Amino acid sequence: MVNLIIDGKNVKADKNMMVLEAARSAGIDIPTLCVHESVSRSGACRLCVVEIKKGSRTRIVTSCLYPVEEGLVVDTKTERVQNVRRLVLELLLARCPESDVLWKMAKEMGVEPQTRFAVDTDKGKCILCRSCVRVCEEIVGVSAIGLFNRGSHKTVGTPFMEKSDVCIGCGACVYVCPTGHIEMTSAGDKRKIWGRTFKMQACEKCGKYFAPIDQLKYISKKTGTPLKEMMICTNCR
Amino acid sequence: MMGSGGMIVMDESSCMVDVAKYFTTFLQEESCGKCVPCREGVRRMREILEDICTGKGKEGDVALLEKIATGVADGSLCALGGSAPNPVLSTIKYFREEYDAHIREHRCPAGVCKALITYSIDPEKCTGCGLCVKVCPTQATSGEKKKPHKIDNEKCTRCGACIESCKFDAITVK
Ligand code: SF4
Ligand code: SF4
Ligand code: SF4
Ligand code: FES
Repeated sequence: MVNLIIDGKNVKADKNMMVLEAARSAGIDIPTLCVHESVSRSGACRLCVVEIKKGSRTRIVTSCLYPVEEGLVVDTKTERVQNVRRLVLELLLARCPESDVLWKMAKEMGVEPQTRFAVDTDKGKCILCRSCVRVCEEIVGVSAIGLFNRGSHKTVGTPFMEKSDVCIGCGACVYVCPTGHIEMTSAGDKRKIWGRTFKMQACEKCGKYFAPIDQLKYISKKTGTPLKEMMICTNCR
Repeated sequence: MMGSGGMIVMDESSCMVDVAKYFTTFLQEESCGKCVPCREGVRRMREILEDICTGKGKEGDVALLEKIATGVADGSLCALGGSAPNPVLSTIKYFREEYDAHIREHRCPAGVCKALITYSIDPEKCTGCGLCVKVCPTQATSGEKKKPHKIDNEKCTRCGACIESCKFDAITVK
C-alpha cells in the first residue's frame, strides 16, 4: 500500500494502481474516453489529465497511465487541468459533432462547442482512441483493423479499407468503442461489419442466431474444441 | 522559437503571422496523430492562422490561439506536441501588433500575405520604360511608352516579378 494525497484527501492505494484508479477508489471522479478495462492503455485522449506536485515542481500527467507513488500530491481540478480537458472536448466536438457521448460529457463538464472551428463532416464518431485496434489485436488476436496515416490524416479501419479476410465478425471492436463509431448491423442470419457480411450460426437449442460461423471456427481452431460442440449459445449451455 | 533548438533570423520583410503559419503547417505534418491535443489542436491553430493571413481573421482569434496553444503544450503526450505551440506563442508575445493589423485592418505590415496586399505604381517615379510589362506573367501591368504605367489588381497575382524588374523603385506594396 502507498499513501498519496488527491485533492487534499489522504488516499491509500495498492502499489500497482494508476492515479486514476486511486482517485476513483476515493470517490473522486476523473473523466476518461480511451480507457477500457479489456485493453491496454494508449493515453490518446488526454481527458484524464491531473496535476502532480513533487517538491516545488508541478506537472500535468495522464492519470490513466501514471502509477501511484508514496507521498505523491495530486490535484484533479486545477485551472490548468480543466483547460486541457475543455480544449480536448472542444476539439473532439468539432471533429465528431454526431457523437452523443461527447455531447453528454461536454454538458456535464459545462463545455460549449467552439464555434470558431469548422466542424468536420468526414470523421464519423471516431476519436482515434485505438481501443478497437487493441482489442482486436490483444484479446481477439487477429489484428484485422488498424490506424492508418499520420497526424491529422489518421483513420481507423481495415488495411486499404478493403474487406478483411482475417476479421471474424466478433464485434469486440464495437463493444469497446467509446463513441459508437463502428457500425455493425444484423438481420436474420447475416451480420455486417467493416464492409463484410458474415453468416451467423443459429443455436441448436433455442434457434437464436448467436455468433458468426467464422468466429466459431476461429475459436475452435484456437482452443481445440470441436466445432460441433460450439453450436449452442451461452444462454442454453 | 522553434522547439528543435534551431534559430532563425528574420527582418522586417518577414510577416510573423505567416512565419507562425509556416511552422504550424510543418508541425501538423510532423504530428504522429496519436493524442488529441496535438493532432487536433495544431490543425485548428493552422486553420485560424490561415484565416488571419487571408483576411478572414476574427476578433478574439489571438486569445483563442493562446488558449489552444497553452492546452496543446500542457496536454500533449510527447515533446513534439509540447513544443508545437511555441511559434504561435512567441510570435504573439513579440509581434502582437502584426496580428492585430491583419485581423482589424486587413493589412499585412510586412507585405507578405498575398490576400492582404496590393501592388501599385508611383506615377512620379515611373518612367514608362515598360520592363514590368515584359516580366508580368499575367499581363496585369500596362501603359503607354514613356508614360506612367498601371497595375490591374484583378489580374495581379502578387508574384513580385515587377518589383524585381523596376529600376526606378516605382512599384510599391501596401
Ligand atoms: S469484428 Fe473483426 S475487426 Fe472487430 S474485433 Fe472482431 S475480428 Fe477484430
Ligand atoms: S472506432 Fe471507436 S474504438 Fe476505434 S479508434 Fe475510433 S473511437 Fe476508438
Ligand atoms: S504530441 Fe506526440 S504523441 Fe501526441 S500526436 Fe503529437 S507527436 Fe503524436
Ligand atoms: S483516459 Fe487517460 S488518456 Fe484517455
